[in-house]
Amino acid sequence: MSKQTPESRSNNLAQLDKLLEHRSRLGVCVLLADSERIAFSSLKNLVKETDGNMGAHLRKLEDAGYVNVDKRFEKRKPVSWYQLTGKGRTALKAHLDALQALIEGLGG
Amino acid sequence: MDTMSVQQLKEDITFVRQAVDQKDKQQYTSVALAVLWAAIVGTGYTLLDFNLPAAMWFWGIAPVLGFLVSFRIGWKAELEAGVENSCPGWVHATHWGSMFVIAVAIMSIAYTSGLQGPVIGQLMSLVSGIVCFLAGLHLDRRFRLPGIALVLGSAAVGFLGAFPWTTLGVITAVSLIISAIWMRPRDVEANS
Repeated sequence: MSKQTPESRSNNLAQLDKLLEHRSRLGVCVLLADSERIAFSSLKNLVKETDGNMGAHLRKLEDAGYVNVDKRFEKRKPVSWYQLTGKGRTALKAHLDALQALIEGLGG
Repeated sequence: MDTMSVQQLKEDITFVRQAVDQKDKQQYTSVALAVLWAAIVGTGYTLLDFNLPAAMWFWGIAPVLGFLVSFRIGWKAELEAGVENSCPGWVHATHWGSMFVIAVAIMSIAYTSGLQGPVIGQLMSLVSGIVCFLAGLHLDRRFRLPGIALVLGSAAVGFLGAFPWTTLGVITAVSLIISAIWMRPRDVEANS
């Protein structure tokens, strides 16, 4: 596999989504892409984050319009359910395509 | 990002892959559904040997109720697990719901062709077994063993002793429970 030129590498780097560069946010979007909705506690356990960090990551994704949150009461406890939006799905795909191109160009 | 190394990229991708694998492993493993259908199958088949009129009523009502209860159990289990997947839920509902259409078709064929008695039961058991086994292949491998039990049992009814339907019912019920306890829903590696 041939290595990419500095220009193409720079181009691939520019295609990466700044928000999805953090592995936890990338992990959240990938998990949500495969499911209808996932609860906050499940996301937190799956990406191994604390409550505070997970909340901060999800707020950033929500502010960017990548995820929607649906807050419900279940067994008298508040539960937040997250869903990937169309915008989030598009951004994720673009990010993964850029990652793949970058890795292929690096010969990894 | 200019300083991102290949190693960092690989670690991040490995991290995400592990999270996805962990989610796939957190599948519905409760035995509630197996117990429900083991009770329905065991009771219904036993009635065929001891009280045929009651068996007819039972098989007309219990599967419908069981289907509705199963749908709710599955939906609640998803909520408990913190993951909602509407697509697989509807696939399951459509797959198992087709049994009602098949049952009507078989009864219609039996009525118009003059089929009677045990043959109708064998046909229903055979088709149920095939539907169950196909579910085991494409939806949840825990249905394979009960499917095989029903298919083979439907053909062997004449050789199962004094109470053949009870025997078939017990064998199928036990296979449901065994599969629920000892088998995982699906092979994660086979689906990746």
